[in-house]
Amino acid sequence: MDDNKDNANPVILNASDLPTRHGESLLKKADDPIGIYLGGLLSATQPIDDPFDEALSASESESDRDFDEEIDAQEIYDLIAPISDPEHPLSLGSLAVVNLPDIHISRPSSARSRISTVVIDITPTITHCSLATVIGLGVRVRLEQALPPRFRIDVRIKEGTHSTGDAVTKQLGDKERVAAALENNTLRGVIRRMLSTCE
Amino acid sequence: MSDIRLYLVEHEKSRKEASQIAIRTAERLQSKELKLLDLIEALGEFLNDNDPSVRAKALAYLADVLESVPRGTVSRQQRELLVHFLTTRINGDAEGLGAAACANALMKIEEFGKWDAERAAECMQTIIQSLHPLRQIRQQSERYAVLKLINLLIAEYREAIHGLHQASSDFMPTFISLFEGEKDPRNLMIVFSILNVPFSEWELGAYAQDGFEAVFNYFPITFRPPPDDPYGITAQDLKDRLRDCIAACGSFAPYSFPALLDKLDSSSLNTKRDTLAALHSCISNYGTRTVSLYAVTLWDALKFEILSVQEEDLADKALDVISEIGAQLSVGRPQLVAYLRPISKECSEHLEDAPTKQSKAAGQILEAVASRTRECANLLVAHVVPHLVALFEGADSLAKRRSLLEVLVQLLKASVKVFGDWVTIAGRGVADTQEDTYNAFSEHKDILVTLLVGGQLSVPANEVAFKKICLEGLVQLCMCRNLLQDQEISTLIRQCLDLILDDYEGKVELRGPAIQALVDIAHQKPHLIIDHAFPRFLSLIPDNDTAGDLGYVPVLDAFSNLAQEAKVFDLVILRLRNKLDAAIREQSSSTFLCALLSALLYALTHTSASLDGTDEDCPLYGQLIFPLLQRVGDGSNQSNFANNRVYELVGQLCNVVLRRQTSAFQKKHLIEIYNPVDAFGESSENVDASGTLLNPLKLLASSYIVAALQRDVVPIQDLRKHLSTLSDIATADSTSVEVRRASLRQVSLILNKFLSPDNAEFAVDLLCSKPIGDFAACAHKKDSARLILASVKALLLRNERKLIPILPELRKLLLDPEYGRPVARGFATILQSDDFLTKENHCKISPLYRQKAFSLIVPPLTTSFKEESDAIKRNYLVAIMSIVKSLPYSVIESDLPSLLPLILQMLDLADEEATKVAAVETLGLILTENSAAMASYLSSLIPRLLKAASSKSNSGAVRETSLRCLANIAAAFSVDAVIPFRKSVIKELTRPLDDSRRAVRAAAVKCRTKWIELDEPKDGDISE
Amino acid sequence: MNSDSEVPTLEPIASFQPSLNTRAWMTAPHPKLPILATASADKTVKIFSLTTFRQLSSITGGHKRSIRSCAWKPGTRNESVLATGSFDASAGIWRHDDHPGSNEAHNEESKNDRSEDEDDDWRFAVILDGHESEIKSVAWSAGGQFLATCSRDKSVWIWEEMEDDNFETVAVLQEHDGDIKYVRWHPEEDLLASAGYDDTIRLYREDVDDWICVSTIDAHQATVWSLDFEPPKNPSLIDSVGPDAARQKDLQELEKSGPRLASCSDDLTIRIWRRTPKGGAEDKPLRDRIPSIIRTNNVDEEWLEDACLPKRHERAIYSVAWSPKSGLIASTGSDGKIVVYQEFWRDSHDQDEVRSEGPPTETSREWKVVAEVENAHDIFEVNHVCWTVRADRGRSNEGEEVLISTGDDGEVKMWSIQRGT
Repeated sequence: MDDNKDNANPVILNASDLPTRHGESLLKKADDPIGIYLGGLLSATQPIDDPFDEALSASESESDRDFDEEIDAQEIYDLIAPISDPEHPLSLGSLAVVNLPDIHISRPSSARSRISTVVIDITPTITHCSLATVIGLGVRVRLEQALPPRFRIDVRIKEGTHSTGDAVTKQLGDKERVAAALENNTLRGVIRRMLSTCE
Repeated sequence: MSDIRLYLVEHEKSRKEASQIAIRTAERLQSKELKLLDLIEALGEFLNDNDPSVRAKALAYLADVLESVPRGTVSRQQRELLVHFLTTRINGDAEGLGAAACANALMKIEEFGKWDAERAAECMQTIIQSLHPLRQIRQQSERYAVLKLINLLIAEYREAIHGLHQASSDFMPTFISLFEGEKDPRNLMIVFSILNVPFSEWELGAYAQDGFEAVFNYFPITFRPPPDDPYGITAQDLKDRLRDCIAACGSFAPYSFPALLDKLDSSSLNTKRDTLAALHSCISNYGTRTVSLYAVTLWDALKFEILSVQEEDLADKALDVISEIGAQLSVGRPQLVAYLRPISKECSEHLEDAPTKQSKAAGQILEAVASRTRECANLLVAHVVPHLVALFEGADSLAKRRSLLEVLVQLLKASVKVFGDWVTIAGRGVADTQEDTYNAFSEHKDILVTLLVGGQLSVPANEVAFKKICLEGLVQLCMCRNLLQDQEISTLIRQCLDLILDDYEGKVELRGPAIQALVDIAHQKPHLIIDHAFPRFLSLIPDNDTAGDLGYVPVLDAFSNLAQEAKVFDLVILRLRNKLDAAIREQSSSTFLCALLSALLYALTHTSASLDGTDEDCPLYGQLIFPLLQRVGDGSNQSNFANNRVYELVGQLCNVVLRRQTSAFQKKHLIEIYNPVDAFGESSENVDASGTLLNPLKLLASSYIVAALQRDVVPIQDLRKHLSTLSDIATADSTSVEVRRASLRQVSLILNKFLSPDNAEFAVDLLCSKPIGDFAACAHKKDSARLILASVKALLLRNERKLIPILPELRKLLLDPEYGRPVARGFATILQSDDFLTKENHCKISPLYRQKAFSLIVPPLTTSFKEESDAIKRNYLVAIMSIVKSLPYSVIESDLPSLLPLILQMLDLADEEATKVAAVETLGLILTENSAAMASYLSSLIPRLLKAASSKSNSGAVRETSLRCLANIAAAFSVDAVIPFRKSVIKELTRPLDDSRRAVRAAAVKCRTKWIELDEPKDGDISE
Repeated sequence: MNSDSEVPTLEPIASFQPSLNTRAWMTAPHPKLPILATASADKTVKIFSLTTFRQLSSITGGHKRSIRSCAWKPGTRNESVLATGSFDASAGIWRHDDHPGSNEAHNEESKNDRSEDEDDDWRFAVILDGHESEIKSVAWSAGGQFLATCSRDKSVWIWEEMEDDNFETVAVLQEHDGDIKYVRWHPEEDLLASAGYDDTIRLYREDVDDWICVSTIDAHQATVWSLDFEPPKNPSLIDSVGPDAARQKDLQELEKSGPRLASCSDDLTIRIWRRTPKGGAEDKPLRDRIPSIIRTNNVDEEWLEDACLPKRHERAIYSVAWSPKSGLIASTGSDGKIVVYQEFWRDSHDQDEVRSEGPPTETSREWKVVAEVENAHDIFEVNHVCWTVRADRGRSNEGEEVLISTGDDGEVKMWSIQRGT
């Protein structure tokens, strides 16, 4: 019917193939091997929540407090994977437009500088996809809203995946053009719909 | 006759006044003071007046009179006379006022006595001739009266009206066009139900097109009811009635299908939804022959809704329509084959480039159609499965193979749905003919089994998702009725056992599904599981754990999971009990005993089998519970068994079983049940000369027993002595933590369930008023406070009147400089749910206990809050929040003005993390329930929440809940109430975006996006 | 990146209050009065006082979208004229009557503190419509006769003000094949330079009666964000030339070429361009040549790279400013740094000096970093930097020169430079 879609039949990944952080929860299980069995009946740390002595149990123990969880590539991936493609009710993650290996974070270059840089290479589903710029813009807006301002966000089209990749990358890297584009209401509407699936 | 003239005059001013006059006339008619004939004659001159409005009003007068006249007053001939007279009078003058009056009058008369056929026919005839088209009556309420009359004629005198249709060929077109141009929703509702009769019951012949078009020009309905709509008609009501008309008869098909398919291209989603719903009704009503003519054209149009899905719900509706066609055509094989060929061909093509959006859609189509009838399933399976197997073997990537298997599983599920599994036959009745039970999968089962089993083994270890889908495929094959042989199912059972028991990479993700597979198969083929799985599990559970390693724990976990299936439950329990006996006999460690007891407890609490016994007998009790109680009772403190964890588990096992038994059963066995666990029993080995308890551990078990007993099965003779001993143990320093907790539980259970009125005074005094009174001087304040609060909770739950004066006294406990704070936190126990004082344990739970607790404990705190010192103020705040956090909004609503300022202050409390989290959550609750109450606090709440969300001194939980509350604010208020805060909130939220905890950052992102989305369309830069 | 040798940092003097709380694009100091105009993404221009660091007024209501650029008209009498360029594709001319006596040169001693009696009557005199998309930069020619505007529609427009409030389009130059980022006039001649998204710099002159592109510089490898001309009598070299004959000769050559041009780009480089003087008569400055109808082919010019400043920026460089008083160059950009460079005569034997790359060192001059500051606007990008003369009580001497930076955090800050001797 509407064959004006750039790519009517994209390849989609299986949800279980998408990278997740579950590795960590396995880690937690390691230190209480039998706790996971029989519904936790045998777990060593029986939860005795005694409200009388709450002061201790409720606030994390000291080690928890200074337990820093750095912002890493997986967290960036989790922020942008659920963005939906403007043409399909499918996420950029399931369409493999954004992939964990294509996200790079570089820490501040010198002791004094506090600026980190995030580089995201996006892979359009087909080489002449006219929506690559909108998708790139959606990724950039999502990260500018979700990451602390000390991050500089460079969204690029992955080498060799798009006929006018360099031109799109240049446009996405031009802060002034991005700012100007985002003042256009129709474009903001499209981006808002794309981001609405990032619950 | 002054009445008529009076009526005519009044009619102008107010209809109500006019009808009063008519009622007076009716009374005079009824009292025979006035005869009907005289009335008609008197009306005569008015009825023939040359001014139409006078004629109409006269008729209205007659109708009003008849309206209020009781049944008997009008004789049969008079009715005949009136009907004939009124029928001739139906005409459109005075904008139909007259017609409406006639209609009302006629309906009234008909009520008095049924008409005969030709009277009804004559009435319909006149309506059609003199009132055609109805829209000439401009007043919609007048048209409504006439429509009701027509509806009455169609409903009650259907044959007569049908006769008119058969008699003259032009009856139908005039009848259909009678209602042309009707716009009023209430009238339309009647028009649709009137037309539905001829459409669905009579032969329309040449007029099918007129009939269809008369109703279809209302499609799609975009009616939006006015806010104060008196008649309560919704768009959906109209849509349903219209749909019934469109789907009324097969002869509409040549017109309805093309028209509907054209509407399918509409850009409005609602139009598409109505179109799909209409198509579905048409297909289920038009009959197989008609549907078969359009089946393929419908498929060609509908497939795009699924293949290039825009909206999920539209795709689902389209799937329903396509599968409905399959169901309708399943009667005749040739039509079904003709319909399914293009579907299976196109789906097979899409499978070639799997995994794509369209291959996924193809899978959905195949499953939807195959799940409707056996014929559909067989035809699709026969055509698609071989192609699928070929594609699988030729596939170049694992992702492709997996997506093909996913389609295979979808087809298998469909086949189970239409053929049923080993336990229940689906679809047609029990006596299936041989031909009926043929399942096309039987041709391919061997290749599929090898392919799926192979898939399990040949694939590299880390391809867990692939192995999962293979396992799911094998399980579905086992479920299919009469498909696999027992021997083939046994191979799968062995494979699942390997996945559960062996060690391999990816086991963490495959062990669960493998266990679930065994449970599913146990439902189908219990004997196979018993023959093949049980021995393997039991061989790995040792008789004693001298070996020392904990290898048996995962085995026990898997084995006790089998108990989920009722058919193998009893045997699992029996085997576990035998292992327990052996373990005890061989002096195994308490860890091993606890493992076995935990397995038993897990089995009992996760089974679908019923644990209920009868008054006389309960097999579980005899088999498992009684022997356990005996072991506790015989007191031989055989070290490994006499251990607190073991006793606790024994208690839990007894509780789970006993609480479900009837009080008769409990009474019958009370002695055997309670005595063994009675720590204070006179028998020597319980209490020594100096009165110290020799077997305090028994309390751990007895508390669970006391919990299980029904309220009329009182285990203790001397309640007062029992309570005072328990209270001594609970507050004694030497008592261990477990025993103290057990005794507190037993105190609250006894107070709630077994406290007789005459003991109430004693108990309240012993456990509440006295300890509160001398709390200041008491040596071990914390334990005493625990006892007080446990007792208060139990008595509060049973709505004990004697408690009322005590509750306000609780405030005193908070004044203690050292223990005031922990006790304030302890207040939470009063309303916190716990696993002992529950309905399952037959406790008395009064519905108002929360309301009572709040209204008696909190006000004394809020009123005296101001005069207290800062330290005491903090205790009060913690105490108040410990109570408020378990309350529903309705309870605290009336006290919001005094509560809100205090809750806000709680946000500034140092190091009271739980209280702060509770405070923020309560604010969130108030926001969702009644944001208006918070409106005036916004300017002090938002900065506090921002500070709470970013200050490092707060725990992660507080930071996170504050952010969630901030997000709620953005959603709970009108945009212009929160816009003033928007810019600064968005700026401030950049700090928690950089929080050290990932969960806090995630909450910050959600919150910030909510506030950013608040922007008005013309707002500036979105990426501040 | 040359070595991190210890370089003095710029000292923050003050930030202008209140903060704009939203992205600020650039700030233009008034040619005479001690005031600044800051263009902002919230569709307004804020006027700040250099004496009190407070906001004097806010120019609103003229544009429907962000204001990207603004420029004061030079040489006005007892009124201030501000041109604004906005993303709504229109440019605006705003007029404000200055009070008598308030328009003396801003380094006068008079204490006319504008903040109290400031009336807010900025008049939105003219809208200049014509561009098809966002305007990126506006600039007045040295004498104030011409106003240049450039936009994403790849065109530079030159407007001339006839009588009051009536502007005429003198030229529409469509040389660039991409979004044009910046326009700048030569400090003396009617020579216009534009920098573009197509990585090129183009220079335009009026020949006979229409404007033509006389030169194109396409050495940069990425978007050229900003330009600035060298001040006509650049003190930094003249004062320190000394007796050396080679240097004297080099100085004369420079004077013959006329003021040089500095450009900064997304390719992280700042380069200096120098016009190759043509031999013979044509050398006379164009102003006083006899206009001839035939277009002579000798009007083209050649601008060659004179130097490439030391690389200190790690991300796009958004702004470069050549100080009219001291000849120092300042630059800033996405990495939040502000860097100041100075040009020195090269000592042939000095080896350990910090070398600047660039063309083979036949010139006897080199650029060195003399001051720098990181995180100038906290962690936000800095969009603009410019030089102005200090007018607040804290100034050390009459013409003390300071830097004004404008950033994404909506802050406008003043910095002072303690130049190493």
